[in-house]
Formats: sequence, C-alpha cells, structure tokens
Amino acid sequence: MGLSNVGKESTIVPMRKRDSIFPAATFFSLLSLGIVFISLYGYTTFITKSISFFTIPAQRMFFSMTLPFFQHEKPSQKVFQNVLNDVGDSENKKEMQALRDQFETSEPRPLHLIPGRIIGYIGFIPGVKQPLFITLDKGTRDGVELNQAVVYENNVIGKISKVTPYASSVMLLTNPDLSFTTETITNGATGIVHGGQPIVMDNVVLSEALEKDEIVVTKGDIDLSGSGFPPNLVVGKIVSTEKQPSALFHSAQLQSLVAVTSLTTVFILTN
Amino acid sequence: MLPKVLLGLLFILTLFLEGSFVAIPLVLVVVLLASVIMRNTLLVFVVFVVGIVFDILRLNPLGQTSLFFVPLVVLITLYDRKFDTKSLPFIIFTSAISVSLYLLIFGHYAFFVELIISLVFAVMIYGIFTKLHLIKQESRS
Repeated sequence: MGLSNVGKESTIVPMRKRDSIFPAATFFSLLSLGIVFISLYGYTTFITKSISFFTIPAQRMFFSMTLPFFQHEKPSQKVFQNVLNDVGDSENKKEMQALRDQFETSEPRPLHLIPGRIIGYIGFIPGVKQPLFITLDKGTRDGVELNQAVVYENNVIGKISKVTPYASSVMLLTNPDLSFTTETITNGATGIVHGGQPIVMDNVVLSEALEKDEIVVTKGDIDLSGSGFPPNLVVGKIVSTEKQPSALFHSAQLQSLVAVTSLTTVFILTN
Repeated sequence: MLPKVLLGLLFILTLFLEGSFVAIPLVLVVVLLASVIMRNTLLVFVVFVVGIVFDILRLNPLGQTSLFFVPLVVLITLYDRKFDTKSLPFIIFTSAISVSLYLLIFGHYAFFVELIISLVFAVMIYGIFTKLHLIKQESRS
C-alpha cells in the first residue's frame, strides 16, 4: 500500500512558468483609463503634441503615396514605381493650382484663408461610402478654431469639428450631423441644408419655388465668436425636387460641385 | 524574430491605412492575431502604444482605443486555457465578436460591409501566417 515507491528516486519536473500578462495588462488598462479622463479635460496636449510631431509628416507622406489608388481620377495605367516618383511633383502642382485658383477667387477674401493639406479621410469605404470627415495638417497653432468654415474656391467643403495643436478634422457636407441655412440664387427660396449622401435642402415653404439645376448658397451662419459660414458660398446645385400637396414644406436634393476625394488642399476661413 | 517583424510592419501599415483612409477596423484584427501568436508583456505595451497613436491619427480622445485593445488581449489569453486559440474557427469567431463590439462602441458607417471586410482580412492574414509556419497548431490530445 503505497510502499512501492519507497526507495525509488522521485524526480520533480518543474512546471514551465507562463509569462503572465495580467499585471502589465492591469497597469496599461488603468493607465488608458487615466489618460481618457485627463484627455477629456484637455491635459494631454503635451502627449498629442510630441507624438503628432512625428505622425503628421508620416501621415502626410502615406496619404500622398496611397491617394492615387483611392481617387476616382486615377493616373492612367501607371505602374507603382511611376506613381511613387510622380507623387511629389503632382502633389506640388495640385497644391500650386489650388492656391492659384483660390487667390483668384474674390470671395472669400484671401487674407482670411489658411491653406490646409488633406492628410486623412474618416468614414471612407471605397466604392461604398464617401468620407464623412477629412483630416487637415493645420491645428490650433496655425490659428484654426472650432466651427470655422472650410472652402475650396467659393464652394463649401464643411466645417471644423475637432482641433488639436497640429491637426484638425472637417465635418463634410456628406455628414448627416451638418446643417445650416441656405438660399437659392435665382428665386431666393430659403431652407435648411442637411448633410448626407445625398445632401438635402428642406423646410422650404411651398410659396417659394425650387427648380432643378438652381444653385444653392449659404445664407450666413456666423456665431458670436465669428466662426461659421459667411453668406454666398456655393453649397451645390439642385438635382431633384420633392413636393407633397399635403405637406407644409417642400425639399430638394443637392449635388456638391466639388468632389472632395479629388482635392489635396482646402482652405480654412479664419475669423 | 520573423513574426515580431511581420507584426510590427502590419501594425504600422494598418495604423496609417485606418488612420488615413478606410473606415474598417484593420488594426483591431492585427491586435487579435498578435495576441494569438505572442502572449507576453511586450505585446501589452505595443498594443497600448498602437492605441494611443491611433487616437492621435484619428483625433479621438486619447486612450480610448487602448482601453479597448488591452483588455481584449487579456480575454484572448484567458480563452487560451479552454480553446485552441490558434485555430481558424476561433480567429473568425473572436474577430466577428470583437469587431462588432468595436463598431457598436466607437461608431460605424456601414456595419455589415465593415464586418465582412474585417473578417476577410483576418482570414487572409491568418492564412499568410500559417503558410509561413508562424502559427503552430497545438495538439490538445
């Protein structure tokens, strides 16, 4: 009874100790939670600043290199190497052209504009969804503030929705959260534009006519701090109208005159 | 060494791809695969840093992505004692659950499209790692 092992040499095989990740995971989870809390109060600027210093140029370079593969107007049948070689030149040419076009436009006045280079799309699924936001390489240190209008020539692109010291995010016309007052050029019908895919202008009283191909412009939505959409910026043209006899208002679907995915530079309207 | 280099490259590529272009949680899929391949404190640190950089690229509140990624690594480690975490069904199952959860928490633009593309990406990466013998199947007999 149990004596068979007496006298035999017993060998104890040590269990292989697993590298436990729990202490580290707990520490980094708590650290993340702490960072979330302090970032909500805006005390993480120093972390954002120091990391953005490296990530923004890298993001700009990555965006320039990969943009030709996502754009509608692809450089025709170029091999990858040629695209890489041409990126620098074509980006500079596009930027120069954008600047020239913008400064030839009389409204908005060039003195109140900051050129911002697009370095990212948010909410973009190629072939499925247009971007809802774009990221620009300009932030608070360049004078960018929340709710400032973003334009290309005299066309509305969107408005600033987030700002960090080195970058900012623009809420585009394709975003359902964007809305502002507008009017048509020819008939002067006023209504509210709601962003989305498609863009819709509604709350137009039945006595005011809406016609196809009419141009819709901003009516002016400047807040107390001076940010917002000034009047007479082009929102788009009417592609279809909808009128129900029983309804109090009628509406129209708009199409923007600018394809954001074909742009590399846009302009921020400062106060 | 090769898995670490490959995972590092994948992290950088998906960080910039998701941070600059596509609204598909590619970084999350790489985090999942990384936690299946290597389970150590270095991974936890890498995942934490990746989350912080991702938040900076997307101008999100700092730390929110790390707060999702780090516990996810722990969960997969816990399941390692009960399931064969290195099998394809496990990868597909955990990817589907975690991507769905991620999209519901952080917002989505086209839920099913994002989910399906993420799963295809997970299977692709798993296939590449298996072909290169970087994921070794465990026998549980």
